[in-house]
This record gives sequence, C-alpha cells and structure tokens, in this order.
Amino acid sequence: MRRSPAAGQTCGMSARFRALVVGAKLYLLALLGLAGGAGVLAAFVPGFGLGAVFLLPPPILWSRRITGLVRDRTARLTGIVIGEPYKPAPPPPVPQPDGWYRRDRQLYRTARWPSIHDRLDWLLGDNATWRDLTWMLTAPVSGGLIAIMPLLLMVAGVVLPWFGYLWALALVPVGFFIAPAAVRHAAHLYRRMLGGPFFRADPATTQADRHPIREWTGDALQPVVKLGLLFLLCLLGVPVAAATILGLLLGYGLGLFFFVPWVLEDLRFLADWRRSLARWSGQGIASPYRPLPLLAPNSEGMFQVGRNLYKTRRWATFAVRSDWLLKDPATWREVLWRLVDPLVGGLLAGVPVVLVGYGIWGLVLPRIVHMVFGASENDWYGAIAGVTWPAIPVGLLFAWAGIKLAPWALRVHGRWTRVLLQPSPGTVLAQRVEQLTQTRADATAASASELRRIERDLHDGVQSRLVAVGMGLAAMERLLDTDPPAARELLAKTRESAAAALRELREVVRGIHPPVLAERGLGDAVRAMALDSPLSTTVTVDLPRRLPDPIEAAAYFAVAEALGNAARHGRATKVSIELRLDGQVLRIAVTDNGQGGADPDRGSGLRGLAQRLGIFDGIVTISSPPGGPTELIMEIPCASSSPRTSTS
Amino acid sequence: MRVVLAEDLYLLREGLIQLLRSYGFEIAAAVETGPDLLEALLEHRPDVAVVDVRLPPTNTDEGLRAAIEARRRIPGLPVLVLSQHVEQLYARELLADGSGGVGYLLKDRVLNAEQFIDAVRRVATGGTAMDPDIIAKILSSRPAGGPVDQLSPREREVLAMMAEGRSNTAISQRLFISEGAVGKHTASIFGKLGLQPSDDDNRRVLAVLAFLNTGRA
Repeated sequence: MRRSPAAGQTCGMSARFRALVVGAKLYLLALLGLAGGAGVLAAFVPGFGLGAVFLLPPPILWSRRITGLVRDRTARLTGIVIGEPYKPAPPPPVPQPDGWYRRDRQLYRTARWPSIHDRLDWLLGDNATWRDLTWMLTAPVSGGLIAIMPLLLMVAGVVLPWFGYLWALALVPVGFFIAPAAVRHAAHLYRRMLGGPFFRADPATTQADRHPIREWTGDALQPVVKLGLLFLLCLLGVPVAAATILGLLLGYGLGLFFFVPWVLEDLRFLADWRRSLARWSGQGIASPYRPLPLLAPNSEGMFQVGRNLYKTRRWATFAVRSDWLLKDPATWREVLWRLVDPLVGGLLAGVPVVLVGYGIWGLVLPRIVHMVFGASENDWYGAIAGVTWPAIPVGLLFAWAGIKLAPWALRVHGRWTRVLLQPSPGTVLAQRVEQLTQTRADATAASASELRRIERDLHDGVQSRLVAVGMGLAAMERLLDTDPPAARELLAKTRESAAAALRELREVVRGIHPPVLAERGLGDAVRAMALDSPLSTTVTVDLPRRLPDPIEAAAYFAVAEALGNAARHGRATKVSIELRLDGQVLRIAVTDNGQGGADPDRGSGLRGLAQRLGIFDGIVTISSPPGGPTELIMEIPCASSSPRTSTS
Repeated sequence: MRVVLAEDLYLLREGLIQLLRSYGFEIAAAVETGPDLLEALLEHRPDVAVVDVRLPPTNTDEGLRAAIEARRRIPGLPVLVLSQHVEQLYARELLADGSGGVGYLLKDRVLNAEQFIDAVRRVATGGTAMDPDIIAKILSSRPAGGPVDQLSPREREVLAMMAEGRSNTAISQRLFISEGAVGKHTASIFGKLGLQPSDDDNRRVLAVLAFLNTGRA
C-alpha cells in the first residue's frame, strides 16, 4: 500500500524514468509550498507584529488548502498516503442564559470575539499548523531537494562534460538509478511533516527508526532543532517588545489608557508559548496570573470595582480587567521578560544554533561545493579568515561544539524562562485555592448525583422486588390451606422475585464499589475487568502496595470509563492497560488501536473523567491523532497525607 | 458424604447446614474464618468443602485463598466456592491446577436446593460446576480469533454446559438431542481444542479451562 510501482524496488527502466518525472513534480509542489509559506509569513507580519491576532486565521486556513493539495498530489504520484493531521474546528460559541458570551472568565456581548479567540486557539495551538509552515518554507531545500536530486545530477552529468569535466558523465547513471529511492524518501519526509507528529515513531516504520545512525542524529540534532525554534521565538519577541513599549508609551505618555490592558494581556501569547515549551527542559510552567475576578451586579444593579460603581457592565469589565492586570506582579515580571528575553534568551538559544548552522552551511558544505565545482577560492563562504584549508575541520568543530552545547543551553534556557515567567508562591496559593474550590464543588456534585443514582436503583429495583416477595408470601399464607397447587406455583414465582432482587442488588453494589476491588485491590480488579471486556485486553500491573481506598475506586472507574470509550467511540479491538506506581504517583496508561481523533474538549466523558480525577489532583492527558492510536494517560498523586502546592 | 463448611454469616451457615443434612450429607466441621477453614480442611480431609469467598479476619478473599492453598497441599480436594459475585479471574485461579473437583457458584443458587445439591455432588465426584453467570460473561467477552472461535455454535453450547458441569446425559436432555450426538460434539470439541484422548473427566476440566482462557495470554 505504501509503495507504488514508481517507488517500488523492482524497478524497470520505465519506472525509473517515471520516478524522475515524479521527482520533478514533487519539486514543483515544494515550490508551490514555498510561495504559500511566503504568503502566510507576510500575512503574519501585521498579525503578530502589531498584535492584530485576528488577522492570523485566514492565511493559515488558506495555507491548509495548499498543503491539502500537496498531500493529495503526493499520494497520487507516489502512492504514499498522507493523513490530515488537523484538530477538528471548535464549535461556535454558545451564549449564556443572560445573552452574554463567556470565554474563560471574560464576557462578550457578541459571538464575534469569542469565536475569533476559539479559532486562534484552535489554529495556533495545533502543532500541525507549524509543521505545515515549516514544510512550506523548507521543502525546496529539504524533501523537494531530495526529490529533484536525481534529475539535477543527470542534468549536471550532461552539461558539465561540455565544460571539460568529463568525470561528471558518471553522474548520469547515478541519478538515473537513485531516482525511485529519492522519490520514496522525499515522499516519506513530506508525510512526516504534513501528515503527523514529526518525532513520533511511525508504527509502520518503527523497525527502520531503530537504525543506530538515525537514532544518533535524532538524539544529537533534537536539542539543536528545539533551540532553533526557541531562537525564532526570541526573534519574534523583538516586535512584541517593541509593541509593548509603544503601547505603554501611548498609554501612560499620551493618556490613551485603553492601550495598556491591550498590550499587557493580548501579547501574553508569546510568554504562554514559552511556558508550554519549557517542558523541553523539564516541566512545563503553569500560568502565573491570578484568576480574573468575576463581576456580579449588586442589589441596585450597579457593578462595584474597588470603590467605584459602574452602571454598565462594559466599563466595569474594563475596570476589573485593568485592575487585575496592573495589580498582578506576574504581569510586570512578564513585561520585564519581554524586554530582556530577546537578548538573553536569544543569545542562549542562538549560540549553539549559529555554531551548527555556520559550521555546516557556512564552512563545510560550501567548501565541498567549491572543491567539486572549483569555484572562487577566496569566497567568504567556505573559508575562515580568508584561508580555505581549515574550513572543513573548523566547520565540523563548530558543529560538534554546537551539538555538545545544545543540551546544556536548552537546560539553561529553560531555567532562564523560569526566572521571570514562573508563578510566585502567592499566585500558586491563590490558584490552588481556586482549584480546590472548583474540585470541591465537583466532588460534592458528583457524590450527590451518585447517591441519587443509587437511591433510584434501589427504589426502582430491589425495593419493589422485595415488596413483591412480601406480597407473594402473604398470598401464599392464604392459599396454603385452600389451594395448595396455586400456593406452590406462587412459591416458585416468589423465589424468582427474590433471585431477581439479589441480581439487581449485585449490580448496585458493583456500581458503588466493585467487590473484587475490595477483595483484591486495584491490580486484580482491573484484570478482572479486562477479562470481562469484549476487547482483547492486556494488563500490566506494577503496584507494590495497596493504595488508599478512594484512589483505588476512582482509578478503577476511570479505567472502566476509558475501556468503555475505546470500545464505544474508538472502534478499537485491542487495548493495553498499564498501572504503575511511580514514586508517589499512580500512572495509568490505556492505549487502544482504534480510530483515534478523541478530543477532550468535545467529549463529555473525557471531561467528566478529568473532573473526577481532579478531586485527587489527578491529571488526564490524551494523545489521539486521527487514525489512532489513542493513548490516555492518567496520573494520580497517592501521597494522600501531604497536600500538593503545585498546580501543574 | 462428609462436608466442611465455611461461612461467616450465622443465618446462612445454619441454613446451609440444615440443607446439606436434609440431603444426607454429614457436616464434619462448620467454620467462620479463613485460618480455621484451612486447618479444618487439612484435618478432616472432607469429601467436599463448601466455602464462602469472603471470610474474616480480613473480609477480603480469605476463603478463596484458603481453598486454593488446601488444594495445593491436598491435590484434587473437591471445593465448591460460593460468592455474592462471580469473576472470571477467580474461576481461572480455581481451575488453574487442572485437576477438577471445583465449583464456583453465586450464593443465589442456594435458592434452588435441588440444583445446588446436584452441584455439590458433582464437585465431590471430581466434576466442575461453573455458575451460568460466569459462562455468560465468558461468552460475551470472548475476543475474536481464539481456538473457541473455531467451534460451531452447537459445540459452543455443549462446551458451555460442560463448563457448568453437566453430564452428557443432562446435556442431551437440555438440548433435545441424542446422547450419541452429544458424544460426537464433545469428541469434536476435544479435537479442536487440541486435547489428547485420555481420562474423559480430566479432559472435560481442561476443556473448561481452555474455554476460560479463550484467546488470552
């Protein structure tokens, strides 16, 4: 399925010719991508640079049509199918009962802004967007170059002999023979970039990925690539810093105060981005901002903010928001970060990246090109301080130093990010209080509805069955003397009623606390559940001790829910469940081979799961690319006696 | 027949004693806790033990563990385990040694005295008695591709009844087919599950075990 005749191994002459043509077409697609990427980048300038973020979605959506075309054509040309990696679009905002639209803790009069924000989150928060953009900007010199290489070699082999380089004739058969392999590799690179997580091992090619050279380059280059991205973000920080200074000047200098909250809040995206990327050097950083206070009218219908009363919600909202922004120290630490980071962060990330980039592209490659094609000897590229012979050793030394420096630089970069962007202890406490309030509300609501369900089950089932048993016995008492055969018949029915009551009671008990959980603990209870599941399920348990009762029960029902979801929505046939105690954290991984595409923002089941585990400070993460596999990871801290202070 | 009985609830224990006595069983010992049970089993070596899964002191699966431990020390000791709920997991553990003489029933089944006593007798003579609920669970959770999938629907029905512990005669009456036909089905089942011709009783236990292990690692 993955190899078309053009890319197959049993290549005849015509197949190789065809591969040459396909390579050229793939390169045309790459050029099309570059044109699109340049357009998107141009459209980003006003969007990111001026903070007019609402201008961003159209060019991104437009670029998806280009990459869609590339996917389609690549599949047709090479037979290598590239799936659509995008997250599904968010549903339109729904107004609250009072007609206002609420997004996070902000109220809007119309659906316009919440919808724009939703779309922004959707597009900018999707890694596929950035992979698409990277592909578009680099395809002509990465995958595209690989695809066109055979043709280039053959052209060079035909042209160069006219200029006296007779050896170049050898390039013609070389280009001709590597054509199918080049097309195959180019298409695979396209698929990695346009079709799914780049670094994730593709299940179909996992074996190939274990190749030691590939593994080494992956390990060595990954920190450099990450630093490269961080470097780009630091560069992006320059216009953001400029916009911040401009906004503050306009606000405090000219009295155009409405600019202030605008630059303070709407330009936070960069810091948020950096916080989430801090996981590359340890843990991600939690949001440090205090929660925005909720606004409610008082008895006279006025809104009170500090000592001021406002008649309309609009101005009150503005006041609350300004107050909230200006009084939060995290805001000012972040502003300081915006001003300093382009320099500090930029240097930290830039040095290794420039070392590797300059070493390879500035010294080694040009030198090789010069040696092969004999271009001018004293070119700036491919020479160091005017001398050419050390270019290759020094260039390799630079690249080696950059690669060695990269992991260290990545760690220091993360530490630097933490200095100003990490929440302060006070904020952590405030957030913790808010989270506890929320989870306590969830817990009480959950237990109330659970009690209500149990009450209903007992009332409708067991209770009425027992009434029937009692009535049957009373009737039997009467019939015993007058009509023994009828009494005997009634006896059988009554026994059946008692059996049914037992059956229903067993179901109720199972719903409250599964007996096998009480008898054997979490590991065997999950094993028993797996045995009863119609899916082919493997269970791995590594739990050295029994866990606190409430956590065992919560974990059991969470696994039950995950297993049910895999069967219901994921159309899975195989599931693996892993239970492990990592220090003080219970880690549960449920992986299935279903169709994937589960979205925690959509499914109420997943949200309910997160809510129920949230009571125990548990975290649910899900990875479910379209096409699968779906991996659901639940982590529950088990040191019940020591309360956590981190909200991450 | 001598019986050792382990049940911690007084009413149920007395009820079971009466029931068993009225069908001619002799109660060698009636105990309340897991440790007592193991002691009584090793001391009296009864013809059959009737055991509740959940017993003091831990009120978890004491009874089950005592029964398995006793069977490890006295191979083939017939044990009928009673519980408020049935789990495939426990059934597999009970049958794991493959030597038969095992029963695993819901306590509800006591309501039907004749069938219950029938099950006790079957277990005492080295047969098996699996609860119909267990059979239903296995049938509903059977993943595709296992050896049991190669059986015809009729053969699966026969195997399910064998698991419950029914004899060929009982199966033929239930399914309204001749006893010879049941014999053919069982021979075919043994063949498909790859069981060598040997002692028929043991093969029946192994077939049930294969049924429990359908397609699972």
